[in-house]
Amino acid sequence: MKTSTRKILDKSFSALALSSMAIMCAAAVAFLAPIIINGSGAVWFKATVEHFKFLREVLDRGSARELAAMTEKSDAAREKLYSLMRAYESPADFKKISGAIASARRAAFAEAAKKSAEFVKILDENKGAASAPVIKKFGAGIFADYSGLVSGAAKRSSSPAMAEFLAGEKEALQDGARAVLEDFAKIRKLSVLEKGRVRRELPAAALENLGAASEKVSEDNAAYAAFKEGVWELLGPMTQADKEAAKMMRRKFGQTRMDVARKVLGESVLRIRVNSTDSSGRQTSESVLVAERFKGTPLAEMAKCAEENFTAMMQPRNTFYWGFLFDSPYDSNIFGGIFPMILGTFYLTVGAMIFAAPLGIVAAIYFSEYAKNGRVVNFLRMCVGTLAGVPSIVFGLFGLAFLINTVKVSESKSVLAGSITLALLILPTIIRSCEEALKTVPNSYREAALGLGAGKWRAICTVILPAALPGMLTGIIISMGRAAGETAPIIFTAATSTGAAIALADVFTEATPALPWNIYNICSEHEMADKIEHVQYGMVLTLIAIVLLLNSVAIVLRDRLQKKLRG
Amino acid sequence: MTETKTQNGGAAKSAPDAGDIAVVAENFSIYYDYGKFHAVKGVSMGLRRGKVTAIIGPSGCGKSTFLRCINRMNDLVDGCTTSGLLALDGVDIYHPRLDVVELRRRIGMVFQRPNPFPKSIYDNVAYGPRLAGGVGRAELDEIVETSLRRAALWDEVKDRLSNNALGMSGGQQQRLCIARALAMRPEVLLMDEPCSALDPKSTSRIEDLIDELSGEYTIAIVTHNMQQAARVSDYTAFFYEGHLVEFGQTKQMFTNPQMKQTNDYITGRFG
Amino acid sequence: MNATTADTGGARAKGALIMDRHSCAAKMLLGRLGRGFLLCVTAVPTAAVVFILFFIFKESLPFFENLGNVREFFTSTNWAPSREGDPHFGSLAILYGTLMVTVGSCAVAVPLGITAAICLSEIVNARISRIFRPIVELFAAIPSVAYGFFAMAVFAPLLQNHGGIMISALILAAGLPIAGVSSIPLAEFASSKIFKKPSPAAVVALRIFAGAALCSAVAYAAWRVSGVEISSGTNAFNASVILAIMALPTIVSISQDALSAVGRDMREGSLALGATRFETIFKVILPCAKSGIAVAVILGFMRVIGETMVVWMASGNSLKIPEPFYNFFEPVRTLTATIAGEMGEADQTTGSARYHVLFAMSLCLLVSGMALNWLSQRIISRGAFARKKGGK
Repeated sequence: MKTSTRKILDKSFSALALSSMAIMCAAAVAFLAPIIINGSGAVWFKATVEHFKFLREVLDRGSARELAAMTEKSDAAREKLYSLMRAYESPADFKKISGAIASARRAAFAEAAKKSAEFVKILDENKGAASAPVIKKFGAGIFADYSGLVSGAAKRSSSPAMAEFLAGEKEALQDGARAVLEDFAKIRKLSVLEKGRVRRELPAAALENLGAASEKVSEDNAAYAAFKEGVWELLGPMTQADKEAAKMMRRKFGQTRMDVARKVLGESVLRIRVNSTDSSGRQTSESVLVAERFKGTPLAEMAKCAEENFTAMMQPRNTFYWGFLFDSPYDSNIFGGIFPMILGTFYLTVGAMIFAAPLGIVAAIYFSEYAKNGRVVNFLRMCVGTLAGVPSIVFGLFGLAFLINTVKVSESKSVLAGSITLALLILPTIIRSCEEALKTVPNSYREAALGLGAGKWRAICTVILPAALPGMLTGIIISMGRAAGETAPIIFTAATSTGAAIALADVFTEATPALPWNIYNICSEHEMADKIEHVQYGMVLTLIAIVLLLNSVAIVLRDRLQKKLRG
Repeated sequence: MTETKTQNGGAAKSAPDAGDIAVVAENFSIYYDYGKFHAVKGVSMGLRRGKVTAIIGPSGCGKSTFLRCINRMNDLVDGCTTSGLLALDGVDIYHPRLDVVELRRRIGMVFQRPNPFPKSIYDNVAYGPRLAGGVGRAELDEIVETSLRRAALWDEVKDRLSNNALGMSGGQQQRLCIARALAMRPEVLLMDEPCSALDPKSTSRIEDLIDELSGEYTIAIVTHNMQQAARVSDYTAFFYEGHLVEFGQTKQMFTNPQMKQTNDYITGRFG
Repeated sequence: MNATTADTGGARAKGALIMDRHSCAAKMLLGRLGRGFLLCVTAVPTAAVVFILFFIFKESLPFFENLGNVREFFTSTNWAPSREGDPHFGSLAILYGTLMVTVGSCAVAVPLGITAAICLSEIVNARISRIFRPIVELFAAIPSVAYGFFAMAVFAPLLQNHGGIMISALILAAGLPIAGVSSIPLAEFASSKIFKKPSPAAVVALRIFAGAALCSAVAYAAWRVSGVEISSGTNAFNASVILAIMALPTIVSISQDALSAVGRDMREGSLALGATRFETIFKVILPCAKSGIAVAVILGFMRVIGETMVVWMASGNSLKIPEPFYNFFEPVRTLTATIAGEMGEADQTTGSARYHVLFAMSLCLLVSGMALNWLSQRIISRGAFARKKGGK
């Protein structure tokens, strides 16, 4: 090959290798950036007035006066929306409208009674089935005013009261038709067939109209109910009574975070889900924009009001919520923090250390100071390697089969069982790192100590262990990080998805929530996973921060102690 | 122990007088690798009490091995065995019931490279006495001061006894190691090329120190440096390929060696 | 002065050099006991290995007693272990999913990791690699559930919505430089075959031709892929990529160790003979470090096979073998995910059929983990790092 070609190859290979580094860096940034950005949002975010209400009422924290001021402002804004909604639910002219309709109905039936002679004549002229359309046409004539009123009312208001009233009107029409039969019977006796036909066909046109109106009203009303539900989700209950009646905490408060609130506003208030029947007759639900679908109706007005007053109603304020780390979760992590998970992780990690660190250190001392190369020692060493190669989920199964089902260290999952399982998992790492640390202690220290008349054990305790301490500590702390982050071994041995912290005295018997497991749980199995993204990211960031913090502490510690030892 | 004065020795290979000689080797052999390698072959010699004995010879001749066997540092080496007699004050060093810890308190050792512990200067010197236990604070202070003075280090470090020993210069570190050994009040002091890792100035200080300590301690020093052997020692042993070739008074050996190999080595023909 | 020393020495009552029989025996006994205690503690990992093997084997034994089950386990894809009266244990799809994800992630991680290790140890200067090394190790420390979360919450939606475009961009970004570089030796080789004495113009022409051909092949592949619609963001591809990211730190740091264990003299010898850095790396350093790199790959492989959370969260948990079998954009399921997902529901105490088949699965995992571990130990003990140890 020519020299120039070789040079080009050399250069381009260097470029390729550098770009592989660049890809790794890019992957690292792409991985960490969303987690850090979204995760820090769990602690530092724009909080709404509901957040402060939650703090004040549930955790008894924060200034009541400030909250009162905020509430006042927000209530003023909310009142605009609420008044619209109240007006919709019980319109001021509802009585007038309903009265007018009722009297129109009575008038129509009165007219029918008046025209009974004319009607009987029609019946006589049209025998049998032919009479039905004629009766219907006759009915349409006398119910014209009534139908006009009903359609008008349906357009004006679709409040629940109206829906109920229209449902009542249906009965009234049928009753009225039955009553008017008696008037007709005064003229001549009607056959059973004729009676039935009159009863059905006389109010038919009015009933059709009423049905259409009532369907529209109930459709609108369902839309309103969805809208109202959305407003509840956004702002919390409308009245104190609602609040007291609400069982779950998520029904007692509105959205506490501005980002989620904006999402709720967009998805559940400005857009609502309505049911519709598609061409094949299947019921489907689709999300529609209120302002478009209900243009010109009070609903659209309400949506506009909600959008305009959104900021005023929520009273957003930038806040540091340290409680995310120190509060218990409320209502399956929708409110509050992740303290029980952090505590559980702490228990498990410390527990694993209590078992693994002494064992690991002693084994490392044996391997590095006492063991001579022989079959037994080689076998022991091989087993350490093998243990390191066991997949972590197998440790979990072993913990289940051995610790819980066989030895019964506890009735069911417990921190104790989880700690022992984790301890076995990190034992090989600890042994190896401690042995490495002991090997870096120069032999001259051993010789010097022995030469000064120290016994072997004294030499180890007074000289070798102190000299190896930084390295050993580094290894142990890094293993702690590993224990804190492992999920698979604790699934069957220690972790529970309930959010309650457990007391120190319960660690021998109780399962605990723990960060790694709960991250999985609230991502995959939580019913409102998309509303608590900040909690998910916050938990992940907390876990990563704990692990990286431990690792950094280990590195710094090693450097400092090494400097100290070097003098 | 009763008698610290020594006479001028003649040819030391002859049967020694017990009060005269601190450490005696008779037909002493050392094997490595479970007898496969014969490192030191049938050495018979004695370290005279209160005198400095230099052990010289080319690399790999077994001189360091022999020295380390005197306080049983070879126990650390797997597969190292010995035969013959090696005795301190008439007590067999390889007796099965020998208390190795007690032996090493009586026979101090200074190594090739200065190896102070990563502790303070004070703690380094106090290490041995503390191990023995039963030493009060005041007595410990006194031992530390005496040892450091004896090692000619006191004036340099008296203000910074609590500093880390690893912060000292190489020569100071080696003198600290000597002070640390002296704090045990040993009878015999073994030095394994104590100056090989030091600069000439530090070397000369250590040599002065050895000179001062002679008479009081029985000292054995392994060295590569023939001038050093000539300067500091009273007796010299020449090892070659595991054999003790010649052993005698230093003056005599350097001016009138009996054996041809000794002559060749001393005059620099090999080694 | 002489006398005082001797006196104080005497006052400090040096003990007898030879111990009496009694105390000697006591001391021996104490030493033996101490060593025995240390040995017992040191045997804890051994006991753990034995117990793990025993219990996993014991709990999976009921499953293996029925040979029909075992045949079904390896040949069928009908997985219904808890159906009343008629359970099925066909795990072929699960085994295949495990294989697929493992191979996929190694295909990404091994070339990338080794190249990055070469870059860190041979190309960038020592200062930069000293900064990078701890960062790489920090990434190895990040818990797997965090990677799984990333796969599920960030990567999967991205893949689902913009998958085709993303992957074709990736192919272009990775493929074009590789195609450009590899066209050079290709043209060189071709010209030496075609012409006896190639003229420079012909070589340049060939080079341009080869470059254009390779680049257009890459572009075609990218164009084909850009149209692909990915129905689910959690699939074999997602799991493979995230597992690869997880395995990278292991591969990079161990390979880098192996590469830097190759002595300076080797490098200098090769460079002094007029080899370029590229040739030195490929002809001298890589062959010297190959067993160390093999260990790195095996350890990365082990991490991937045993990993639970990432595959559970990112692989989609589907019980079908993808159609066609190489389609990485279909959801799959792995052994670890099956164990984690189903053991919670399995009847833990009474030992249902499902409980035992899950233990049989973990036995498969355990055996493959141990085999890989044994392989890596063999390679290490055959002297992969002997040079390094000797050097130190």
